Amino acid sequence: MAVSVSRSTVVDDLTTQAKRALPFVLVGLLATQLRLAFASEPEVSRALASGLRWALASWIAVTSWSVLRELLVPRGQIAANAAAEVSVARVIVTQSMARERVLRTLAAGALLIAAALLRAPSRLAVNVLGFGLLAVPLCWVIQRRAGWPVAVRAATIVTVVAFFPTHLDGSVAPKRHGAVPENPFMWSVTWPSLDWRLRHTIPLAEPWPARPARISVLGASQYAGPAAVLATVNTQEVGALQDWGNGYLGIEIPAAVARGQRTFVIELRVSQVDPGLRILAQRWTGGAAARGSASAFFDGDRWRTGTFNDVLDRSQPGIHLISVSAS
Amino acid sequence: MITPLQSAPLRYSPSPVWRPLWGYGALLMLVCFLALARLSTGPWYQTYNPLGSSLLEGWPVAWEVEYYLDLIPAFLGDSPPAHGMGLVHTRTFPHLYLTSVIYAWTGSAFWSFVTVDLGMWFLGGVATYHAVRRLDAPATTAALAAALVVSSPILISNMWRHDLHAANFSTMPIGLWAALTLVDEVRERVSLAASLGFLLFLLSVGYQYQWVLAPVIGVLLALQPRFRWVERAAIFAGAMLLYVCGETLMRTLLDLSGFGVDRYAEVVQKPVQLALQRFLSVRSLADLQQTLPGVALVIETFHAYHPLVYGVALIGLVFSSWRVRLMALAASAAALFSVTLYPAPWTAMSAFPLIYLGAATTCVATGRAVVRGAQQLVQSLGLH
Repeated sequence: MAVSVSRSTVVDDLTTQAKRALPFVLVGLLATQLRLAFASEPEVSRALASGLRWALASWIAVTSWSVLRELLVPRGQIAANAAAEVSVARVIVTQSMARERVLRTLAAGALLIAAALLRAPSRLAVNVLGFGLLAVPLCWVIQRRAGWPVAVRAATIVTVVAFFPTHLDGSVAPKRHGAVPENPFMWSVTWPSLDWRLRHTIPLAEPWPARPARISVLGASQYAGPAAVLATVNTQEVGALQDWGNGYLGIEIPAAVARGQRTFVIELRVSQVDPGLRILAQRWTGGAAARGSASAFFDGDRWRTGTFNDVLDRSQPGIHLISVSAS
Repeated sequence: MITPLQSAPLRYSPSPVWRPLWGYGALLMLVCFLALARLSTGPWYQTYNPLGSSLLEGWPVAWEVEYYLDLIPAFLGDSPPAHGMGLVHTRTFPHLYLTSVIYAWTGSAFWSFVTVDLGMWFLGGVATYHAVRRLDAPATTAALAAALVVSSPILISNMWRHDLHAANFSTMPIGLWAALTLVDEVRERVSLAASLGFLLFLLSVGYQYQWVLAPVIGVLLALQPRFRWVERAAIFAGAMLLYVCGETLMRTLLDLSGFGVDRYAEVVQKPVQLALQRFLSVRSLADLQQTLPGVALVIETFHAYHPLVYGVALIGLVFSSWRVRLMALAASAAALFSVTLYPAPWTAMSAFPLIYLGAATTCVATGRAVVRGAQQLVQSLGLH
């Protein structure tokens, strides 16, 4: 049966779609404007990209919310609602058509991603694979609960989400980094004066066996200066820490010194003051056997529990990253 | 022309849209509360590994995040792959892809990992609730089982590490729910075999729970009366075959795309390879005894959950239906065998959704008994 669509129907349809898209376009324009107004180096292309990102993100948020609402409606209610409005046969046809639309949307999504990434074949392969592994189960779960028409929306969301990054080239991996002075989780400490001491106490569950113990200290960065870190274990001088690589400083305690000890009290001082010689400290104390009281520092006057952040010139609760292991 | 089979006999009534939201909202709040509590206090269940401490965008991460940070350019960069993909990557492939895509949208690697970990952690709880409901347990038991799963050490201890383990481990309850749904609902044999095969493949790229769920699926099929025994065996074999084909195809595709060589190839060993190595090394009865799980591993499993939790769970499972008991037995046997290959607490806990279902059953039954006892006491004392 030939279906004729009048011109006015098409115009009405387009008008409706445009009205629906208007709020998202406005969000995009606002984001563009804000970027131009507040960016330190305003660039039109970047501002437009930001606007597009915000417009799409707002559409994704609104559409996701509508999908979520449908998911929260119990299935029986959907059937009742559907029966109240249209016949069961119409529901079946609608579901079947929507199922085809889901498949078409996902196929179109995969094709779009593939077309956009022809320039980088390996990236293309993992993106199409990832898109399939995410989209197929998601659409299956959503259609079970809310029906295929809702799954069409979900398929469109996944397609937009997966397709958008294809225009970017993020060839540089994000990097982990070490301590930052003002970071609340991890910072570094040093020895501001020659009489400064850092202490770390490790109580043991049972006496140390007759074998050497390795004391490891995690340095904040590779150090190649003239200063050395001198250690005492349970008030006994054991010598200078060696560079063990991978940021570690350490020393092996002879079995004769370690044997039978129930606690290791490790004190560290320096042969000469050098702010470049630093070790790591962190706020989390759960891993230390003595918890929050494991670490302390001597400031030339008295011992204080915790660590001393010399950059911020204040003591901070936490521990030095010092551990003991069997040799 | 479409002939209406039924006119509109039912009136549309506003649906209780917001009612389920309370349950999901409470679960989400529990997840967020636990996550923030752990961020504030640090690891609860492990001693810190100094080498594992570092920062990503100013936030704490485990050293293992390095495996995944290296791979983000594979999804977002046009340059040829600088790193291959070993099992450590393919076993979290969809999560890693999603993390990369979110990173492209947000520009924050740290919060992309958080979103995926938190989202999957929450979905693990939701899936537990629905899986338990499918096993004919009351809503209270299902809700408690979901709460136990999201607050279990296997999930909490991996949050904020950003090696995607929180997301990985939640694929067990999600896979359990999907397996139950598929076996219950898919009527056609070929479709069921295909769906189960795809599920096993998804589990293999979500973590490695396909080996724990395969025997559970076997139990579910064995207890499914609508198929003949030959059909049940054929469905299971077909599913396994499809899974193996899917995994082989994916590995081939990755190798052809330049992701073959990986410097972290040996970080995670293939379970099948490990099992084969172990069995091929058996030369005597004593070797065989060493290969099979012993009492020490059972005790390790008890400690992984906590002896009290495991004891309570066992009581609950004894009083559960045959289906639940057999599923828990199959999953626990698979978990126990896994521990012989890879002795770690999280491996010992591989059957965790079913174990927590047992614990929830006991707790709810005990709670009801206490309430009944209190009511009887009030009645016998003549109080109102």
